[in-house]
Amino acid sequence: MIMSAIKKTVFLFAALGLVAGIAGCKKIFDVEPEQSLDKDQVYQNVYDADAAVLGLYGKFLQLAKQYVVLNELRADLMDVTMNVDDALKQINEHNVTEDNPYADPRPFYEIILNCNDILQNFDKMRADKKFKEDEYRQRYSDVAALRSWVYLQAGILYGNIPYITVPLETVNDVKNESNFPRLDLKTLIDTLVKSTEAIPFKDIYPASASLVTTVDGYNTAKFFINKKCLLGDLYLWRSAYNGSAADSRKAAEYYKDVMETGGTNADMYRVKYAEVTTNSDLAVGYWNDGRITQYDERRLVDVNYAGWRSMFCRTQDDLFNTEWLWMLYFDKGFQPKNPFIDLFSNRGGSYLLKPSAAAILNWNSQVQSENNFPYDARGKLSYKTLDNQPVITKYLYNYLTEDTYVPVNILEKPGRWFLYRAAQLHLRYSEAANRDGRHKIAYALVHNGIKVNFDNNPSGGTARDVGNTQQTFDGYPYNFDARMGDYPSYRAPWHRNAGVRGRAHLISDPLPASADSTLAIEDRILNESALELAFEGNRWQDLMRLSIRRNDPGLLASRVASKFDKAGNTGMAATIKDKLKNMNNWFLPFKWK
Amino acid sequence: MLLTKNKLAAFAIFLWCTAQFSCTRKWEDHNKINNEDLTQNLYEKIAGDPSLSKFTDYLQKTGYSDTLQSTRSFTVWAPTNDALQNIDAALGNDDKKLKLFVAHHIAHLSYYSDQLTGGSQRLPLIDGKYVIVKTSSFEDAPINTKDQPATNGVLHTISAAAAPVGNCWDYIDSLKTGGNFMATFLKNYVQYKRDTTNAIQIGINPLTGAPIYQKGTDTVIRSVFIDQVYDIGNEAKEYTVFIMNNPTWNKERAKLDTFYRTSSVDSTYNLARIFTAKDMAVEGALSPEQLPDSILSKFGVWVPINKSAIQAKYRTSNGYVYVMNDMNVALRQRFPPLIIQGESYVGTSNNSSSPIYLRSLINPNDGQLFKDLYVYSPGVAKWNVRYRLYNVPTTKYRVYWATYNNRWNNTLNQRLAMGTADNTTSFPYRSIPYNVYKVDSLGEYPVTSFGNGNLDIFLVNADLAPSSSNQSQTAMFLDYIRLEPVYKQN
Repeated sequence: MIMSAIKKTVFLFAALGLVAGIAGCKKIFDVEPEQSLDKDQVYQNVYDADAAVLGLYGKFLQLAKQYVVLNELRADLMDVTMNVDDALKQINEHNVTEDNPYADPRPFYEIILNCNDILQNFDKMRADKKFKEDEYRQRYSDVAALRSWVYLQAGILYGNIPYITVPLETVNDVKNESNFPRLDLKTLIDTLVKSTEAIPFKDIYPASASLVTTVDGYNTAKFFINKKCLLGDLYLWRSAYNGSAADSRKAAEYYKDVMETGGTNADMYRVKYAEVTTNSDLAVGYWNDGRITQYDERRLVDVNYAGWRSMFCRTQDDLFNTEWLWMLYFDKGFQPKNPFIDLFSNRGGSYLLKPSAAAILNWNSQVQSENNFPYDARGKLSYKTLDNQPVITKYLYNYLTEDTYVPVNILEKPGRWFLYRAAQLHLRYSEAANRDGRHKIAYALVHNGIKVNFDNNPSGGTARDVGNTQQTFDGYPYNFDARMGDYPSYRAPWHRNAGVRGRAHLISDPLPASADSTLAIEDRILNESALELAFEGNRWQDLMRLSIRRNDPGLLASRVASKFDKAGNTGMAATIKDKLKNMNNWFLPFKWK
Repeated sequence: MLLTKNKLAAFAIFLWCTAQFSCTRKWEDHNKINNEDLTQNLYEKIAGDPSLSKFTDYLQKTGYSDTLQSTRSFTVWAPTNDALQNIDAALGNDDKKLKLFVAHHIAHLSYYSDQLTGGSQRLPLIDGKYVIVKTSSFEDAPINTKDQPATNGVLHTISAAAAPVGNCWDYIDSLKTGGNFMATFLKNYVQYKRDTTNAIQIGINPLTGAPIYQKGTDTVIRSVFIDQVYDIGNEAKEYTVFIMNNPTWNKERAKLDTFYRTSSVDSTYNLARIFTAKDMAVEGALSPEQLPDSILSKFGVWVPINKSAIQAKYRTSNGYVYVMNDMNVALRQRFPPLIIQGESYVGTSNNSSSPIYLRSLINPNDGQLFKDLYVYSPGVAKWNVRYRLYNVPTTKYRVYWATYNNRWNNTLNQRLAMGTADNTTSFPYRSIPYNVYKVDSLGEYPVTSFGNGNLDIFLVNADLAPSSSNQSQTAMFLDYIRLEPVYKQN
């Protein structure tokens, strides 16, 4: 009986195998799916290429949380609240273990490999003549530049990282370290300068490009990376490592090109003064006639549609475009979810991170021009005290109501990722110009503007011939013309430049006579960046670059330690200071989980 | 065939095992109550203890025997028969008193002695009073046996009874009965207050939609002291109250009479009395050992405590009442300088606040942050900003203002008008210096009648017909106004 059962089974399998063998030859199971594309079917025309680019930026949004947390919480302007979990506490205290989710390098490499894949397919499309040459150059350069930016960020955060420019099937293939030798940050930056310098197209997409369109209600023009800003940053970093004035000048050139994007348009990327009567500006101002009302604290312009605060929440209008170079949006209409509400808001969020005591003290140590109010109003516009807790509201103005600060709709979490803007451009340009010996220009842009600093009679008014003054009289990229006079009439492109501090309604102290101009101005730039760009993800990078430039790890260490000091934790301040004096402790562990 | 045999064997083993279990009652043994304590409820437990037989009688008489058999949780501190021997025999005949007495030994919820926070806790009892329970004592009564569990709570026995005592407000009542003036005043000085808790609604106002209440039901009579100082009848909180004996009370009140001058002696006395009394209570139970040399009242007045002047002291259910035969509070303590900030204005002469600018600045003299008021271009001559002080005692004041004119380097005059805006007799125009933070003495101003206690002060700008050329001369600056009382020699 048993034997016969075995025989039966053997026979059945033999029969099945025979049938399968015959069927296999006819491919009866290999039907093309109707609802999704195979990878050979995408990249057929420029619209496929556009979809790939927009898809890439959609994925890129996933980096926002790590970018802000790692670049701000590790520096001196952001601190943790009582609600914080161990992972963020580790980041704050520079004691990061390999399994910390914020230190996971994989999201960076997912973008990088995505770029590599797109770039290879673009090459293929070009070879197959599915692309016009112009279209190819624009899109290829965009993706390549974004890859460089992500590499630069990863390098700054992790130090030694694998450099990969070929497509891989999955991100876990990066694990195979023998295939991809690691580069240290210095080498990486040099490599990135060369590879990014080589991209065929460095301008922004022309307005006619099919990628400049409206997606989910947002104009895409400022979605894409500004390649010249990136190149400026790369040269600035390289100059920090090699101390080369030529690299500084190269950075200044790229930045200057961006500043001049608007041609003679005196408003575009030129950090314009306050419109004191109309309040239609991005400056710190006071309602109605600001020349008079600036003496009343209650009349500070603190709304979503006017003044300095509005740049973080206003619609994509003309004023928006005079400041923003690169910004991405979070919206209920698409993924991923806005991570900032949860991080920052104590209303509808988890309130994990807050402004540090050091940041608040810094704002409150400034003095405003004219009215002498003893604080920087940008502090009041960057964070608010809600329910007795200091809350970073820079990221929350589209989520909370304009004046009562309660969620407009608890289920909708609109927001933005701030990536590059004019003030940042001016501060970086000043850093480069300062290192290329242009102290006065650097001072002017960071403080109270070109015109007054290069005027042979600063209080002369407009009723005179200014033909031969109010200019830098320097060659590119240091040529600025800020003439404004009525007899004869001059309205030069830079005549509205107010300087970063000037736009913020702050007084500008002259440099102390005895100070070394280069270092004194650099210190001013670093401090001004803290006031202007707080929480936007620049701080750690700025501290690191300046420490490298001066070969002084103590600079970064003491700044970060001061955060703990000012918060009353002197023990931790000493520990952190000791730790960060060693440059090797600046970097996160690079580890695949 | 083999398979069938195996199956049979397995089944047989299963049957045998089941039989083994069914012969015993393992499960019932497992969850049987072994602790005798947990078969009895609190009442049964108390009734079963012969040393608590008197308390058991009381429980039966008052009906609390039923309460203690219910399924809610209680803690009982039961006095032993020995302890109850010392209790007034009259207690046994007065049902109401007995009920309160018994209730004073029972609390909701179970409190084990090792669960008391910090080893000592103020617990609410079901009579509404609170007692301090420690690991080894219940108020003053030592705990005999502790932490005996029952099905619905926990039982402690105590070797002395704890009779309920009145609260601070009750003691003041008894002092009133004893003829104490201050206690009489505190009890009798009342006001009507709107309180709709127990009001009867009889309609709705068709114009406003507001409810209409039956006359007399929407107001209550409240003691002014309870209302404005502390509700010292509240059992949940603790207070220390100082009551002066009659000579001391009269003496202290007389000190204040002159500061509350009105049209009638009676109202002056009442004002002087309430302002004398308002500093005589503090939060917290301060035993005689804990009394400091002076206490800070709710109104910021330091009251010196002369411990040798304690005539009588009462431990109440919510603190202490002391009767004092000396209570000498310094006048400069009673009447600190009155300060009004420039930014705390209540109105302007034409109800426009647009000429008003509020500023934060650093005082150049001491580097301290301050806020002030700046007035620019009101467009009206003698335009004014109004301030109001409340409860201003009748005495002479030295008046100061602090100004910081960091804007206009020209002639700039402003003045203070006291009482009414057109009062020019008190203080004339005064020039405000440029770029100096200055505290300036304006002179003296007497307040002669208390009235409703309010004093209006007006900051008036220059008497110049407004024009575009003199805007900088009609501006005003004010950090604060300070009124320093001048105390009569006494």
